[in-house]
Amino acid sequence: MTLALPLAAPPTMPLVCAIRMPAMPARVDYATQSDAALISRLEARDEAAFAEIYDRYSGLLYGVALRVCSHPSKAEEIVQDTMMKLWRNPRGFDPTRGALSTFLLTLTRNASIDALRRERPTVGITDDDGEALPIPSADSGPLEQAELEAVSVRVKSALLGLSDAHRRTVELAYFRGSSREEIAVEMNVPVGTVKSRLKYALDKLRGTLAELAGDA
Amino acid sequence: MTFTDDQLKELLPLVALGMATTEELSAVTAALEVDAALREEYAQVQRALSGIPAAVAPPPELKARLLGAIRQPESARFEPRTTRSAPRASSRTRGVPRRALWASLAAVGLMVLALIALLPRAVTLGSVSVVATTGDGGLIVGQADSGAVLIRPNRSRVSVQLTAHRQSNDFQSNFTDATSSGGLSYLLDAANQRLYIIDEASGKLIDTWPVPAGAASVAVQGDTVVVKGAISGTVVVFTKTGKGEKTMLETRIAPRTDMALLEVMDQAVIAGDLIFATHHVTGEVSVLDDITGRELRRFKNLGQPVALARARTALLVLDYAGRLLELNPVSGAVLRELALSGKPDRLSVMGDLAFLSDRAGIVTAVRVDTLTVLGRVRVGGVPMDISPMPGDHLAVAISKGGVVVLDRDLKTLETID
Repeated sequence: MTLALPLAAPPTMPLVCAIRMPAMPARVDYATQSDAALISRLEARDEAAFAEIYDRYSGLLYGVALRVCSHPSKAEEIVQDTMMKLWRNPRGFDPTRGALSTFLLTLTRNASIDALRRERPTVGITDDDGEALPIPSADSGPLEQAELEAVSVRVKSALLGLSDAHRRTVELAYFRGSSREEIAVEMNVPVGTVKSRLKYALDKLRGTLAELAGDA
Repeated sequence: MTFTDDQLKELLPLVALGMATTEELSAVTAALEVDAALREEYAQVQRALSGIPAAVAPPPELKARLLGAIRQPESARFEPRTTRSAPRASSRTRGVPRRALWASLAAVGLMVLALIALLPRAVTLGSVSVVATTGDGGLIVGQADSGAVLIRPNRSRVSVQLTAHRQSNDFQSNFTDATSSGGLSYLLDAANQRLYIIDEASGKLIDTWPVPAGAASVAVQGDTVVVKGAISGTVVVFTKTGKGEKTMLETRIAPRTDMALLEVMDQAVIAGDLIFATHHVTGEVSVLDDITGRELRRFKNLGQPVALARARTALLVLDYAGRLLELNPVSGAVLRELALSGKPDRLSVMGDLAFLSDRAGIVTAVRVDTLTVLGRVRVGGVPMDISPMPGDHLAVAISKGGVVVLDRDLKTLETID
């Protein structure tokens, strides 16, 4: 919403009145606000801040939900639930534990995998450790949208550089929430190989991020 | 098993992907607490994972639907917020002639004097069952025989009338839990299967909601109200949707079990977007989604869990058989346990201390970081409930003994009866 506000009191107004006038609300350019600032505004029930967060991350959230569930209406429902959780309890996101994108992605991915598991009862449902780990992170600040896009480009490029076996292992783990044992059965390799492939792949992905940091 | 530094690093991707075993998760969790370099490495792994999914534009109507869902006017969400508008009342007097105003004030003064003469000298506490600290730092007390009392920070008292909801003259409540949030007190009555909602500013009962059989615990966070039914074996998630309306989702986590009201024990807490609920009959703690109420996972073999609380990064669970368990809140793994004497049934965490009360009359303080007993005190009578208070004080509801206020060293500061 744009408001045309006078920059100064009308000239006929006595000076003392002009001084006592309440401060005019500053126009907020939400697009330039940090994630942390937008979250603070959510606590004041700022719908525009919510819309901005949606604009920033809905594509990513919908992308992961759609990839996991393969069902557009289910993916929509999951994104809606995730965003409503943030709206209803913005303090549920703790910036000292990591970036907002990571937080929202974790919620979305976990909800998507839960939905997938309900539809595919052959996948084990007892080990459900995919929730956000309650560990304080040393992350110095939120991962902003531009940085996230840069990370995404690098990581996808690195994924393409992996062997089919490594990439498939990561995809099964990330998008299917499969356990080591399930991946081992599906790929017909020992469990230890799954673990080492994941480590190798993640090291490669992290390496690209280190290069990104070096470029910056 | 002890993990080397290299092994811990190898586990980071598995932990971030939710693929670690309970033992691995516990080891990594503990290491991350103390190792800044490992934390940085874990953050890098998370960052790498965040780059994996490809963005896909969602349908445009999703945004419109979401914005529509959140557009509930805050002032209309719940009735009491519009009833506490004292400034408006005073503004209405601006147009009243001064002489009429003085005459009105004199009349009101006479009426107040008459009312004071008719009032009982003080509201005394009866059979106290539950206590909670209110938003202004006072207390709400539920009594089995005479309803509820709001105790202001200056110790003045307001008797809360619940009589409109009594079903007969021999009505008795069995209050099992109380809590306070957003200027409202919530009192849970298992005998009448009701949740009473009281406006703390006015002391008026503003709503009652039906709750499941053997309602043992109530937890509130924002617009979400969670009630655990010990007899029903269910968890109910109420969501206030505006204009005094609510939705209700009931999730069964255990079979219905008939039990005497005295045995109605259990607790639910809301932590972030999760609900943790004990079910002492089956020895389990269920983890549910705070919006859908859907059960996500279940921690088993916990004895007779009757109370729980989040403490630091862990989940404390009180086993009625006499153990305080520290659980990993993600995996449910028991990280540490403390043997306790007696049968404590209430647990409350206040900063670095956990307090437990036992109906045998003992209140125990436990250091959360070391999980060691710091002290015990016999408060006399039967402690029914405990609640943290401002200033590191603890309110203990004593059946037929009022409310005893302790400091963090368990010294009695005050008895309110």
